[in-house]
Amino acid sequence: MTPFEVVAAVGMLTGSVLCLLAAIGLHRMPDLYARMHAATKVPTMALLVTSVGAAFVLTDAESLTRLVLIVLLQFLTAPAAAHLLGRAAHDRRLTRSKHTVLDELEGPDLRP
Amino acid sequence: MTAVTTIALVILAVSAVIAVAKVAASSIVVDRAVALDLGLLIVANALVVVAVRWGDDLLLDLVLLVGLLGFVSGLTVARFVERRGP
Repeated sequence: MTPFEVVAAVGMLTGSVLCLLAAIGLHRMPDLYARMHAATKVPTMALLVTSVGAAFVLTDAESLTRLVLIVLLQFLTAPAAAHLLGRAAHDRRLTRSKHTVLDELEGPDLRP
Repeated sequence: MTAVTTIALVILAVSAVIAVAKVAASSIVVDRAVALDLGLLIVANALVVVAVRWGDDLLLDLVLLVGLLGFVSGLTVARFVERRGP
């Protein structure tokens, strides 16, 4: 294997293990608000690591453009969707576990 | 390289099964939506790995599509939860 392929292999394996950790975290975390940490941030990071690894093997311009677009789009959209889901659940009074101590949204609703 | 991609795909398959098990185990709609979102991101990861395995950049277009699908589905479920409750 060339050095580039070694970097790609390390990237792809790291991304896969991060996905596995995210899936395990989905079962281990006590409530929805904690689970969303595992289920949204970790796989986004995994996609970044995997794409950087893939960029060391797929080196033509078309592939690199697409990989950059994939990572950019994921980093822009994943937090927005996750935030809306968590906000909707909080608005509808989904209870949180006693281990989740801080609720930044409690108190009067200040949205216009 | 084929061996490495095989190992990565096996790990991703196991994590996808664990994520889908969460969908079956939970009874809260938002919980299931989050778990399915994770499943979709695992599929995106697997598509990147397969693109490396085949040396084919057509699959990267599919990854873009899967990312957009995850975003829109998240928004839709959020709207649903706002109306009907979690």
